[in-house]
Amino acid sequence: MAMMRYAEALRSALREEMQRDPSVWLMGEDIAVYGGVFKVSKDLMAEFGPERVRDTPISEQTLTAMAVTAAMAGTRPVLEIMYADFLPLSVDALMNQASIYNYIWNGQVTMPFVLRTQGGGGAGAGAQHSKSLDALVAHIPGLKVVAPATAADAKGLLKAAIRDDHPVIFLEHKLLYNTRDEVPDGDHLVEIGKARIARAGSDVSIIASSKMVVDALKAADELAKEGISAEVVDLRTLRPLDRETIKASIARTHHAVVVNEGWRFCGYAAELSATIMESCFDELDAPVERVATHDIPIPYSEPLESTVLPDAAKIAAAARRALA
Amino acid sequence: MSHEITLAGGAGEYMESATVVSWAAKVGDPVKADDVVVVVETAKAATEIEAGRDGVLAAILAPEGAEVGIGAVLGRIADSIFADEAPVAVPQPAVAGPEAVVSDAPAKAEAATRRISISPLARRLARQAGLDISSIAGTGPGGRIKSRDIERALRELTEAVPAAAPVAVVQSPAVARTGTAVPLVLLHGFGANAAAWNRVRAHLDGRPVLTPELPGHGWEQALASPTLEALAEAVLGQIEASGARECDLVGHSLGGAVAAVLSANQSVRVRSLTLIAPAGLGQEIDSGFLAGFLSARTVESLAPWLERLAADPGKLPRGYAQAVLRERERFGVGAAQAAIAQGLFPDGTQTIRITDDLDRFAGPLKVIWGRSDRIIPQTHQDDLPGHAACHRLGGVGHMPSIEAPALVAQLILQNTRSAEAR
Repeated sequence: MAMMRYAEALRSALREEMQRDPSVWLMGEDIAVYGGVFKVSKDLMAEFGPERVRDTPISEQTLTAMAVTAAMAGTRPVLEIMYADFLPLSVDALMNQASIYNYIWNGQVTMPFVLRTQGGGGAGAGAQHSKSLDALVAHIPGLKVVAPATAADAKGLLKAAIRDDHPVIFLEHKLLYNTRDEVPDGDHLVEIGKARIARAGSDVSIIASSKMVVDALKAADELAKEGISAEVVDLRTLRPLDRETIKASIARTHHAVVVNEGWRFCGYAAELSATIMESCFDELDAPVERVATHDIPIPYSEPLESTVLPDAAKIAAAARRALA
Repeated sequence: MSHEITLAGGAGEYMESATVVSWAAKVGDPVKADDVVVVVETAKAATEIEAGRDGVLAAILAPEGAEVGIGAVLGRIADSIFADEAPVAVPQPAVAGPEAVVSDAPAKAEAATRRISISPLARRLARQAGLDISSIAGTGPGGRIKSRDIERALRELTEAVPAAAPVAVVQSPAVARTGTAVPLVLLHGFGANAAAWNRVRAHLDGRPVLTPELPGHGWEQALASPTLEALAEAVLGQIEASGARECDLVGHSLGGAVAAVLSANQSVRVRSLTLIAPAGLGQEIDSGFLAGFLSARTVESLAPWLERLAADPGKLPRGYAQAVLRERERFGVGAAQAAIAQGLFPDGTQTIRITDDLDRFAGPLKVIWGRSDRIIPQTHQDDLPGHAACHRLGGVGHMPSIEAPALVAQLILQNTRSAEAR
């Protein structure tokens, strides 16, 4: 085990996979010489050369289409899109190419590429640099979508994503890059599609992903002071969804709070809520509580931003409503 | 006094008139202060108008689609629809005449079938326990029935027939039907209480039931020296207090050993004896369970031990560990139960024997054991006297009364019927 920052864990995953497999290469805006805006690919160009760590022009639509064709041609590109807010530019290549070629060509092509990006608010980055667009990509059949909350999962899931023969959207969070935790040594892989119980509890299940897991754990601490035992389920993978872990948790607690940092309306939390209603109806002792971002552009002003984003206090309040 | 619902000018400064889009309530419906009662619309936007006070929507003066000016009165809220002095444009409710009598019955029927707000889990638990949800008060938001309300109702069901209440025997409708006032006495096991029989009770065809509790359990005071004979004497006192002269006796685990001792008592004749995984037939008892059960202080540490009780832990009641811990906290029974375990089951060895009691008992004798019992080995029934009937239940652990309540009730009633036939 080694203490590692989330960003370092990602870098170590990239480095190990590039050492292991010469077909793995990186592309993105300012990722090579500058080392990435969040320093995830720092020093990798020096180690692997400009052929395998490539700076690109500012053109996300083209970059994504390039990654798709490079993957079809047999290499394993890892594309960094600097902000998740720019994902809409990538969506055509994702929705009309990456996610369907394997299907319409009857399995004759695979699509081993990873699109890394980061989203989320709380940094005062304004309406064009703070969004969580989990639902936008998780909506598309044929894509896998992961959203790790810890450094250990960031490393293990990125290595698994690079080895996957199908497109994986890898969602990071700007406020997680500097968080630290223990990362297992060696070839640490985390299976895509498996949630984990981040904290065991018996009264209410809080189901979250990415940075919301951090807030959910804080909420669980608060609730514990009131004698409420909250279980926190860290989804880790948004698609395919680990329904079994969710069902098992709700069978224990009978109360559910679903949390996602995306917008509330038609958001990922709504998908969780519907899934629980469909598969756990007879276990529920209260309606599912949903915590998500207000349906407005993310404000730049700190007091306004913190008002619209979910946080530990809002999650705890939702848990109390569920248990009322 | 009625309260007017008006279109205020402040709803939009460019607004001169508005169109009524929809009323959120019908005339006669109750409304709450600050709830939206009517939505109006101008070219700019829809505006919601809220009730100014609690009451009943007594009159709608501007129906949907009507164009109204600023300051117009749209409707009235009153304490009842009859309190409104000017119910203009209101369809007259049927308050008098023969029609009112005719319409009364459907109204009552509607009230009786009014949808009950209940969580899916609570509905499932109620169905399993055979509870009528229309008689249960909900404590969730808006009066929703939650699982805790079902659990409370089940507790009250037990407490409504307290062990020492003769009325329960005398007034039971089953007395007249069966022509006998002989109660079924159900004795719970170590660490449990009268509620342990909740699931079985639902299947006992309305037989009058007494559920005494062992000293140091449930509501019963602990004994200074809790020997098996002392426990039996205390339980006999509770049965005598009911006024019963004879009974059909059922005991589970430690309660089974107590029942065996009581089978020969002189004051309340025991007609039949049904023992469920009784103590006192062999030496072994799961010492790990006893130690873990007694020392656990949290749900997390207690639950794994309780799971050993059943072949399928999913069949144990929800909140079982919480209930055990709550009882320890409320009644301080933990020390009393530790003393009983120390006296009767020291170091994982049963020091009590009921073989002689069973040899002497001449009435119908049934023994029920789960094949997957991990607390007291089911092989202990191999040495029973020949007149005992043995029932070995597959897929059942130490709690047949919880794991297979319908079957256990059926076997109990078989045994009591053969006593009646004598």
